[in-house]
Amino acid sequence: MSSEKPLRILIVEDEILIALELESLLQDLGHEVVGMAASSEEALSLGQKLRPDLAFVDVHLADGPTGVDVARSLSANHQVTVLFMTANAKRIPEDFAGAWGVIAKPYTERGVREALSYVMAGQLREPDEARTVTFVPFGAAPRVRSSQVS
Amino acid sequence: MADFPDAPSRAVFQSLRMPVLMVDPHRVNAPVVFANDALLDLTGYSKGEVSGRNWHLLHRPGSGIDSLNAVDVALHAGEALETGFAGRRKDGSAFECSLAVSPVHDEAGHLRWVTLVLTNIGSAQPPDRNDIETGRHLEEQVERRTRALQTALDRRTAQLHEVEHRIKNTLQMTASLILLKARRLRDPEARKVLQETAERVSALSAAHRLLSAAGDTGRFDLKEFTSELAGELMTALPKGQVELDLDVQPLGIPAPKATALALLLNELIGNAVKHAFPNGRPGRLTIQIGRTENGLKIAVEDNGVGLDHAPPAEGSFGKTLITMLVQQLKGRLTWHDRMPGTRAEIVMPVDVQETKFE
Repeated sequence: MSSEKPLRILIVEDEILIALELESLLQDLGHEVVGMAASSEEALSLGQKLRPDLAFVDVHLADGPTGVDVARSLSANHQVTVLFMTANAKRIPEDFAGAWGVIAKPYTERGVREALSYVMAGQLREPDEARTVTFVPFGAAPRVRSSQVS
Repeated sequence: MADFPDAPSRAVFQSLRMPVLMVDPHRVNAPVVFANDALLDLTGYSKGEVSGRNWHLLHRPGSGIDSLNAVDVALHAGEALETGFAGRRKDGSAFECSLAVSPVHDEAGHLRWVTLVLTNIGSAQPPDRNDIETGRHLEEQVERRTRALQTALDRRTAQLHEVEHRIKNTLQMTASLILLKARRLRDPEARKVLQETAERVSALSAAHRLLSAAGDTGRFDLKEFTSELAGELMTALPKGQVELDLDVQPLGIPAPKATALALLLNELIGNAVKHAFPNGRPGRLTIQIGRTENGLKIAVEDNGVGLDHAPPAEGSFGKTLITMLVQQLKGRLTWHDRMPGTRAEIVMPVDVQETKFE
């Protein structure tokens, strides 16, 4: 992982403890957490301001089940690669709202690591290879990778 | 001009329990020429009061003339007919019945007379508009009730999903608390303690994740859980060093036992992974789960360095945990020295179901 360029990551999660632990985990893996948002408004504002490479987005946020809209907006408007993190995968729409995969809570460290590998490999990686107990890649339609994530 | 029914015929009809009358079909008003005692009893008339009278006197006025007309047409045509009939007694009270029209022909084929036989005499309530109203009203009520119940059920199901979701979030928070603290500890021993705790929480989390995925079945998929857990725990070892042999039947466990079983398997498998193959020692880890006559049999076996299976060493919380959990599950635990390696066997009574899903 150290040979890869570190990702700039935005965490969108309203439970502060979960956000902080995830931040530590990502930092241990060599990446940079550029921001943390608890509501959809904060998420979109930070997304626009910081232009992260990747965002972990929980479906349930401080202002309700707005994570799906956040995902859609971040991926469509700001070219952010989005991964859902949620205990409630039922809320994710059929078109995945533009996200690349979902991490089921309670997540495992292995799931997060595999999700990161999948994202960094872009379209080169087979979805099935990346699948773990808690990480489900949406193989169907990853967008063309932006130059930021090469 | 019809003859009266002859004596033998009258005798026959007289003896019938069913109300019977006979009318003369050749006269416009189809007068009654005979009525048996049963009919007189039913209607309250005397023989003299009905003889020669138009048979319509038995009909309830205001109850609609469709069946009346149908009977008249049939009897004048000499045809058979069955219909419902709204009757009226002498005292004005109402009765319902089925009326069978039977023409009687002589040997030459001429129509002589027509018998009217009354059956299914019902008590007087006609299916009037009120009953129909009541019926419809009841149906509407039932429908409304059913809709309300369905809405309530849907709301409860949604609430249940909410609760499951919160449980999983709380478990994630618990794990986060532990791991965040662990990071801040300089002492590696202390860190290890917290990390072990985090692993145990993770086993509980996995149990809940599977339980909520199980939906309505309310059963814990032991096979899926064990594969997940074993896979997770094995990542602590370098790939390829230890071979994992899973021999697990597809079994569903009642939800209340899920967390205890989850922790127990976590301890047994975790123990083997952590202690049986030190210094890169290669080997094999076997996990067997199957059903017994009245429950479950679990075996975790490794062919690594022997584990201490004497009474729990002081300070070995893992061993204590195993013993306590086996006790909670009302099971029996035996350790076997495999030389090399160790085998832990547990039998426990539990209501096991073969799962249909793969």
